[in-house]
Amino acid sequence: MTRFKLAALLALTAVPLQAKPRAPRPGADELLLKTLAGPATGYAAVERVQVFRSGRKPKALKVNVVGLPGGRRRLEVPGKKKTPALVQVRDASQYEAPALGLARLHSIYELAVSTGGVVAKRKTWKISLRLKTGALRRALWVDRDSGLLMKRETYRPDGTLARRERIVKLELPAAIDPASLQTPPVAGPWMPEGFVFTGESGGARHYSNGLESYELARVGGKFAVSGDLAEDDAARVLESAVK
Amino acid sequence: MNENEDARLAKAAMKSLLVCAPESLTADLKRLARNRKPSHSIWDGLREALAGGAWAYGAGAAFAAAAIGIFILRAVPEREAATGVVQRPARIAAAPQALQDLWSDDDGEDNDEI
Repeated sequence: MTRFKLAALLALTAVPLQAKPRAPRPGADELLLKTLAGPATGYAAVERVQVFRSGRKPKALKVNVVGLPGGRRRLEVPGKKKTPALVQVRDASQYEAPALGLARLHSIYELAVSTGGVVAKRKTWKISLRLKTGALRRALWVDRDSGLLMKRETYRPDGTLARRERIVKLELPAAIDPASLQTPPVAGPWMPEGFVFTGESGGARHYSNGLESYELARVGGKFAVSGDLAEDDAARVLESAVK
Repeated sequence: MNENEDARLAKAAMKSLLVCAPESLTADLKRLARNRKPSHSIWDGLREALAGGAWAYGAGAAFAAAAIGIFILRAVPEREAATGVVQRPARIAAAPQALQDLWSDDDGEDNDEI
C-alpha cells in the first residue's frame, strides 16, 4: 500500500468518527406532551398566520406572542395606529391537561415523527397528523429543545394547504412580565387562537377571525360544530361546550 | 199466491205500463225516480268509506297523517318572537369588518422574518 493510499484511507475513516451523533428521534407522544405543556421558560415571538383560500390570493396577519411557563400566552395583533387591533390572553392550563389533548389527537389522527428542518433558527421535529383514512390533515414543527410549536400547517381533504402558522422571529428564553398576561379568563367554550365570538342567531353562536368562521349550535339537545375548523379543534370546542 | 209472486206480477204490470205509456209519461216517471233517489254528498261518501271496513280506517288514518305532516312542514315557519321569520344561519357567518381588516394580501411564502 502506497503512502498516498494509506493517507486517503485514514482520512475517510476519520470523517464518520468526527461526525456528531444523530439526535435520537423522540416518540410522537413524548414530543406532543412537551408541546402541549409549553416551554419551561418565558419567550417572545413574532408569528405569521397565512390563510390560503382556493382560487384567491393568500391573506396573512402578524401576531406578537409572549408566553410564560405553564401555557399562558398573550397574543397581540398590531393595529394600524399604536394601539393593538386585537389582544387575547390564553391560559392553556385553564382548559385541560396536556394528557387530555394528546388523547384527543390520538382519537382522531395517526401520528408520525420525522426530521423537520430549521424554523426561526431552531432545529425542529415534524409531527404529521393523518386522519384514519390516511389523509394528511395537519403537520406540526416542534422545537427540539423547548417543545415550542414553531410552525403548523393545516390541509384540506384534497391535500392543498389551507393555513400556515409560523414563528418567524423568536426570543427564547425571554424575560416576560407576568403582569402583561393578567386578564380575566374569557367565559364560554374554548376557541382556537385568533377567533372571537361575533354573534348569535337562529340558536347558533358564531365565531370568526375575520377570514375563517365556525358556528356552534345545539341540535336536538346535542352541540354541533360546523365551519373552518380541523377535526381536533372542532372536537375541543364541542368538549368545552358540553362542560 | 205468496208475496213474491205478487211482487213479480206488480213489476211485470209496471213494465207493461211503461212500454205502453207515452214518452212524456216515461220521462216523468224517470225524473220522479231520480228526484226520489237520496243525494250522495262527499261527507256521506267519506262516512261510508270509513264505515266500510278495517282497510278504510287505515287509508283514512294514512291520509290524515300525510295531511298533518305536509301542513307542519310547509305552513309553520321558524319564528322569533320579535323579528318574525329568521333566516337559517349561513355556514360561514359574515365576519365583522374590523376583523377582516386585520388581514392583508400575502405572497404565501414560507420563510422567517429577515
